Amino acid sequence: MKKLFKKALAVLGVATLALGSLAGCGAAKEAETIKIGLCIPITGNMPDSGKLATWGSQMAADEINAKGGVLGKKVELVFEDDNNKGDKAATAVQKLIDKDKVVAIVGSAHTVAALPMGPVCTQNKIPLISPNPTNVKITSVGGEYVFQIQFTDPVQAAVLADYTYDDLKYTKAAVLYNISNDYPKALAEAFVASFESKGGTIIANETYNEGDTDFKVQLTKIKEADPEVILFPDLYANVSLIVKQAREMGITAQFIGGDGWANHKLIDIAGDATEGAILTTSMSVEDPDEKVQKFVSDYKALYQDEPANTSTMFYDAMYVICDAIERAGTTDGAAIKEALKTTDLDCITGNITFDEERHANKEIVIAQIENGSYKFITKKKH
Amino acid sequence: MKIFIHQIINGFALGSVYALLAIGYSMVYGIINLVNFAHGSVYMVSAFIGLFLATRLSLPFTMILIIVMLASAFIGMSIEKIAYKPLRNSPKVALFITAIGMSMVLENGLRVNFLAGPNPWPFPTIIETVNYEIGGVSISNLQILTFAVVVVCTLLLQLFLFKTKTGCAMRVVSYDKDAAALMGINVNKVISITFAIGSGLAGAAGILVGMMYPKIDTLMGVMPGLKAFIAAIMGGIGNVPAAMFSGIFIGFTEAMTKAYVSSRMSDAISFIILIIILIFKPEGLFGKKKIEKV
Amino acid sequence: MKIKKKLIILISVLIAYGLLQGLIALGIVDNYFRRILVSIGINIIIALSLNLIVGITGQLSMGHAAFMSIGAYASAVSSVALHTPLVVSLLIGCIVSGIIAAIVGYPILRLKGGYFSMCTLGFGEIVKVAFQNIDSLGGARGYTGIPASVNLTFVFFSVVIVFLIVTNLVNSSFGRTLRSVKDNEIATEAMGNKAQNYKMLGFITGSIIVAFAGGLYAHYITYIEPAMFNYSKSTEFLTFIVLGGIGSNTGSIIGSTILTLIPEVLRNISSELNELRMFIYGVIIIIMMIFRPQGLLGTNELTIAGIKRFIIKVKSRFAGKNKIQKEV
Repeated sequence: MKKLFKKALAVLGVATLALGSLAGCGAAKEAETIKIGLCIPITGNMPDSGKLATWGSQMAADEINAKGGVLGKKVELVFEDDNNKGDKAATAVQKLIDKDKVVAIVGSAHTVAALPMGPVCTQNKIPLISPNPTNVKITSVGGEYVFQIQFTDPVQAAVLADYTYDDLKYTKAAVLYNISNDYPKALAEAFVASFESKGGTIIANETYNEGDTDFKVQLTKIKEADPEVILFPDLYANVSLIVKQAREMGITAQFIGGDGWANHKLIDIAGDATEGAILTTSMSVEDPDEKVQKFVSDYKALYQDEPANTSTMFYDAMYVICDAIERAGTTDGAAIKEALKTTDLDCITGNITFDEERHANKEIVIAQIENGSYKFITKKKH
Repeated sequence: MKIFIHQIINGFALGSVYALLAIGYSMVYGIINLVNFAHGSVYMVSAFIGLFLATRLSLPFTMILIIVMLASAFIGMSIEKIAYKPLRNSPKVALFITAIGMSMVLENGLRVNFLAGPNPWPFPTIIETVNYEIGGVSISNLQILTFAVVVVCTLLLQLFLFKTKTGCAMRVVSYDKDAAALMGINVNKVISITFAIGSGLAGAAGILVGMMYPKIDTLMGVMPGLKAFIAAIMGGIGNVPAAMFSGIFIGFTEAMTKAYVSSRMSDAISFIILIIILIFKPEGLFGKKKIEKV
Repeated sequence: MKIKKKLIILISVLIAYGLLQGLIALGIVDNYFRRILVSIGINIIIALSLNLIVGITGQLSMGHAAFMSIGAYASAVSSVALHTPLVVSLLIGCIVSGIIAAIVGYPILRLKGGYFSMCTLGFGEIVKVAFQNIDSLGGARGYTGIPASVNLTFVFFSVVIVFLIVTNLVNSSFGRTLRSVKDNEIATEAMGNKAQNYKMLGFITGSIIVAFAGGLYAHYITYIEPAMFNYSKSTEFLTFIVLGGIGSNTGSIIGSTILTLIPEVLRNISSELNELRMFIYGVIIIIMMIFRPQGLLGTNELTIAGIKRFIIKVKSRFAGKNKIQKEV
């Protein structure tokens, strides 16, 4: 009998909890703050991106509020977890729109979650800024309310291929990439296409799966092919192990990578193995630009860490959206969207304007790892 | 030829890790018929304990290894006491789901900000990597160490299982729990010891993997755990040397398919091989055929 | 009598639908809640199909998400490339999945216990890797541009239809034979029923239904990628049916509803909880399993008569303990 009672209590408890929280939204008040939703992977398989995203966007919001906010109101951030999963991301975005009544959304950190978010935003006429995913389809799938401030994979790959072939004069390249993830695959394929069209040859094209920690088999094959330059187009966590193992095996070729490398943890883990590697990224902490230097020192003071690609992109995303709201003069989604189209803003990652496809037009930074830090080399535009 | 030998060594190194984890899986599966999904998580937690010991207290390798093995043995025993013991007479699937819940708790619990946090951590160098060149083929001291630990652990376990009283009790419990209880064996204690040994081995694996692949994060146990589980099943349940052999076999197949067939399809191909093996040898590579009675 | 019962079901379904539409019109059920309801609906279909394989036939499948992905991809390709209407796309997904289930099930259903589970797990990974390697389907980059043709109404009636099909199947003589396979395979064989054939049929039916859910999912999210359907998804499905009670259809419904709701409820309680969401989810699963290892309903079904009995029991509990003990 006791059991029965427990059962009844449990069912009752769950039911009240569910209904209370789902239906329990208050009447809409006149908004005193401007709410911006952040849909980021706080849990799931990429929680580090979520943390960086929180840091970057919170820092930007605090700065904007210190300067008087937007339209005379304070900016309020609402963080929501997308679990780095497509279906969860769509639900999270809908929750931000319906329950929190946000005026715009920034997110997500990875393509898996970012792609399904776009259509929901466009349906509800809420602008979405996609900060660091580089997938080329995010804006076209998402619809007219989606704006991407990071360069896309084909653009990044073309710049990287140009620099490798024209400036570094390498002609024999190898690629080792993650087959189970969108970003490395897209970057690798785009690089192979650009590099070959310039006249270079890809002498080894190897892959691995997410969760692998031993890359010696593939690296042995690559070592045998003896390339001059090797591209590892993955996020820093996997790259750190790969470059370490490659150097341990005596591979001496030049290493190159993309914006996934732009996180200081890479150098912390891989140490000397990264020395001399070249990467394309959205910004360099060594960029002599005054604005960049101020951002880097403020960020370091705040979080005792060097800004990474993800945190910088979320920081910029906040500025882009707040600038658009200010220029639109209203929090109406359609008006903000129109204002976003005419964005012309100097950000940390360069001057951002949007093209017809709502991709950002901006310069790509080429950096080299020297003495354990990302040295600025040059900026290139495709 | 040189490359071929090289790839064999790579395969062995990969397989040793699966083998260490597979032994724990196999023992637990043998004794309470549970796919202990939290096993991979214990391995992950122990890598973090090792990280803590090495960076904060800068202990030498042997000390770290012993402390971590003891700590993870304790964690394994606690998990059993808290989550599995109340469910011992329940359907096996319920136990299995609890194990999934447990691994969720460990993975997501450790990744809160004041513990490990969401970022991957660099694992400190406890033993400097040295590469030995033998006839043009290079092999590192860590690879040798891991392989040695696997072999020694297997031998010790085998001795323990067949030469000691507790080991004997363990075999009896895995054969028939009720009969064992009737013979005066403390079943709860035996199961606790099994968990302690299995988790202790996972702890050793955590440290060795941390040293070999010095990037640790809260999800590092998922894929190795999966492959080790398959190795345990493939070897034949509850058979320690078989689990070791099939762990190494899986690493070996993986390396060979990556090297000579396709690195894109390597996981799929090794799974296909496993399925084929099981179809033709349904009781596992080294398992005994059981006759089913009504 | 039978017709009357069917009429009652039909009317109650229509009333439930009307109520839902009413709530939507009143604005109590907003878009967010609708999204959750759709997720619940899709998960219910998945749980029912998995329950058929695991709960009724007794084969612990750990690769159920693979059949979902096959259904999702097949129906998505059919919609995008052949411009078939939604229902046709879904059917194509079901057919493809059924055929593959037959091919795969034939050899591996002969295996016992853990070996069968391992093979399904392996099969799940193989399907994932295969999709990642088919570049025309986008590989790891996923498949985009699927028309968003699934809405709440469609999911609602799909759930009702699938539920009716599954319950009728389970209560038929076919279903009873499936249960006997679970309880004792050799005895089933002795009764003259080929256990393997029944296991095959159960497995294929389950795979077809989950492919249907996969199709719904693809046409709702409009973007699918292979890693969405990995083994952790398969284990997530298992938690649905185990929590509700293995072998109970209504239990599957309750289990999947609760487990889909928990993360969303936690989301709404406090944003501070975001970081701990999946941790709490794990704790809840463990606690539920410890206190109710046979699942919320066990192998029983939730029926109106059962609820009545339950209410009477609870009432009499408050009335006085002794009385019941006498009755029992």
